[in-house]
Amino acid sequence: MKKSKKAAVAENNVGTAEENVFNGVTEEEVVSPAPEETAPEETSTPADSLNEVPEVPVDADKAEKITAFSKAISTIKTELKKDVVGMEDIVDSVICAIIAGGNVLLEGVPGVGKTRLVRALGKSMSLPFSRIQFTPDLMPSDVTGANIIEKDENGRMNTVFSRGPIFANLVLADEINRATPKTQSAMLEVMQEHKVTVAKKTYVLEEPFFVLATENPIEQDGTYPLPEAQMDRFMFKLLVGFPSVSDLADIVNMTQITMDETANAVIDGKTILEMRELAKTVPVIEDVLNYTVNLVSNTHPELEKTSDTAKKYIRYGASPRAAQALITCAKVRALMNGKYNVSYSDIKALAYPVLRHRIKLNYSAVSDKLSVDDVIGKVIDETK
Amino acid sequence: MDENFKRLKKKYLVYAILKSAAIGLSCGLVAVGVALLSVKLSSASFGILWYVLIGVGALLVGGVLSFVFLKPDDKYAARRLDGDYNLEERVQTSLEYAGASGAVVEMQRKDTESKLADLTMSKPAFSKIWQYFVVVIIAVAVALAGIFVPGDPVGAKPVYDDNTPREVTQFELVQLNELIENVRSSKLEDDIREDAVGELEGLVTDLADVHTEGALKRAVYGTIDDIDALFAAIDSYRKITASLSGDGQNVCDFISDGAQAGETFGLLDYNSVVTFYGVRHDSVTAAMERGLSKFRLQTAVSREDGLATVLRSVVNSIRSALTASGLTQSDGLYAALDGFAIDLSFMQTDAAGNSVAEDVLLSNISTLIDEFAENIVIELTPQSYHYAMDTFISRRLQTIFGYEFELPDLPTDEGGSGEQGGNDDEEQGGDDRNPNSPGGSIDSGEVQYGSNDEVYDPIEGRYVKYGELFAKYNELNNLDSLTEEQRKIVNTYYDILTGGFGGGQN
Repeated sequence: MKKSKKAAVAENNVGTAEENVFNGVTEEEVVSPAPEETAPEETSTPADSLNEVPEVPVDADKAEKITAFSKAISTIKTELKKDVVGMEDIVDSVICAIIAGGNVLLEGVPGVGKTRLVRALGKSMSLPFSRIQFTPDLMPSDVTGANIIEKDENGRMNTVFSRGPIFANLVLADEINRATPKTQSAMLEVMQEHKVTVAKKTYVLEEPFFVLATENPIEQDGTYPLPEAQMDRFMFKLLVGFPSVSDLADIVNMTQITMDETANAVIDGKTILEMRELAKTVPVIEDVLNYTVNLVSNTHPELEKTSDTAKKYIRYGASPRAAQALITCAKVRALMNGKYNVSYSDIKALAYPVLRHRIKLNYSAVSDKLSVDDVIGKVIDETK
Repeated sequence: MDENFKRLKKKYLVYAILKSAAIGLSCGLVAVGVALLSVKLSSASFGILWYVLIGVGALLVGGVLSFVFLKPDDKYAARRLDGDYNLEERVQTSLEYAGASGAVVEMQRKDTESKLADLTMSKPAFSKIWQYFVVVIIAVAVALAGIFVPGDPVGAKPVYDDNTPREVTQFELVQLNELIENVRSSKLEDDIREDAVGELEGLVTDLADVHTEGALKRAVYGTIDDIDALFAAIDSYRKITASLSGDGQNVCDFISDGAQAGETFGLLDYNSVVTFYGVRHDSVTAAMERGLSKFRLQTAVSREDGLATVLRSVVNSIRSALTASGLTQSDGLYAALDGFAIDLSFMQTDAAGNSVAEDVLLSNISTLIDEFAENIVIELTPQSYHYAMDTFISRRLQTIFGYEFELPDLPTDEGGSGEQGGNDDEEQGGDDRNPNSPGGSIDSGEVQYGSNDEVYDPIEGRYVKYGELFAKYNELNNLDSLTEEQRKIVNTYYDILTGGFGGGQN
């Protein structure tokens, strides 16, 4: 793989643009990544081996694929446990979001293992991983990349697109709420459409593409709250708590041995895409679908037929993306748990991570000391 | 769906049948209970067959309707299975996607079938059955309430349930026997007299088993009702006047007034009733006079409105009443009324068929009415005597046992006071009673003792001149050997003799 002179972003580095003669870009182009251009070397950590990737032949019976689905999930979890202690629910939700094709917002204090989780995921899924540390002076081009001028072997100046750190399969956007809204908006197109447009040229990101963003709740100074439009693009918002005493002890013991991730690659991107397609075929009965729609509708206080809780505690309700996310993730969750249909329990379990960043509480909830999860619980109780 | 689903669905069908049966049974019991309670509060009465029909009908309707709603379809059975056995919507999904194809759908189907095959269906579906049988228990309570709740029917015969201990006293029996003798020596026709005596003697027999106030009332009032029925069966005026209405109402009024002229006499003591042969013809005539006047007035004022129309209406009313009565020409009252109607109908034309002038017509009508009144008085007098005797027996029985009764308003006419005349006049001359005095007491309030009037001596068991009896009891009353009961008999006898309707006469 050719290594570009001006690397997009090295690990833990903020990308910077180099100054070169501008050769101009003629016309808009859509560039899809060739297999060898998946990601720059510096930003990727290729799998050491693919020895344990479950072999799923192209013409394998679909039933075998289905049964291999949950086996693959359990294999991934086993590998992640080598590097990530505790956080089983978080791991499940992140895996579910990756397969469903969504992005995840993690909220937690520093040092709970957010970066390690994403890195271990990248290793176990054989997916290139990159980390973007957001700071207030981060520019959009630092994220997406920029055209740079460089001299070729013949001494001619050419315009070359230097890819930013966003060009990876798994991206950790650390402390996303520290960047300016301008830089945050650069993430919008990427997260939603999996494309980057620079100088009229659109670059399609390789699938599966997954953004795991983090925001630090305690450092409120110098932060820019994420706009609702961007929040809505996250499939889940997960709350990472401080590990338990026993988990903390395990963490300490483990990291005394090595700080490196030891997870092995057990699956690849192609398999994840196949799992994604498979999950789409999981059946959902009409009653469950109606229940999901009613649940999202019951978060809107302005509707005539809505829940009492919404009227009392919610200022803004969830968007239609919430209903889409619920159904999509419920199908994945059903397969992950060895079921072949979506049930009410799947919807109820996913309601919290799907809705908690999509609804805005009013002062009544604050004065009654109700958290978002409390309000979501009440809405679930009122939904038939 | 597979066989396992059908097998399990059948179980839900059984549950639905049981629930429907419980609901139907409850409906039947509640319907019977409501019917019983309704009957108790009204004057209606139903045979037991009706209650059975109501109960069975309500059971069928309730059971069938509830089964229609409770009968499980596939969707219901699927939902119940998923909920009862925590199958997480597997069965519902299989049902909804029964015709779909696809690897995941087929896997889902197989997964569901294996789960259903493992089900034994041992539990919770029955858990709410007991609620339905609580409803049945409540329905049974309603039915039992309908049976045991005491009713207070309006218009129905009263139920005497007073269990206060009550024994018939010797004094009451003496009075009752006196009443029997009164009736036996009355001027009633043989048949009715024997029947009335028989009823009263039956009462004497029944009183031997009376030990409570309620039982006594039932016996006494039952006898009164039976004797009323005896007289109602032989008196034709009731049958005729029951149907008279419209323009025939005035005819009805004066017939009824005449027949009931004996009511006042029935309130008197027996001597008066017997002595005056109950009711005299002039009393009946006088009682009818008010009604007759109204009838004459009706025809007079109809001169302007259409006399012919009124006459026709009266005739039709009389004819209808006669037909409805079920009587024949053998009944004197029937014959008199029929003849009156016939004459009235031919009143408007003379023998040659020409119309009669109005003045002449009215005069003829008045003459006809007078003749008619004379004719029916003959028939109404004995019926009025029956009414007097019936009233007498009824009031006397109530008086003997201490039951109150309402006195009728005295007639404002001077009928029957001191006038002689009429047929079959067997009473002893005039009567100086002031009809305006309450209770028909002797005028001027003078008390006279000693007369030729006879009273019944319970000790001698025969009629004696009451002056002799009075002296005897007066002497006895002064003796300390008299018991309290005897003293009470004597004092009561004094009250009858000296106050109220006493037998003094000029």
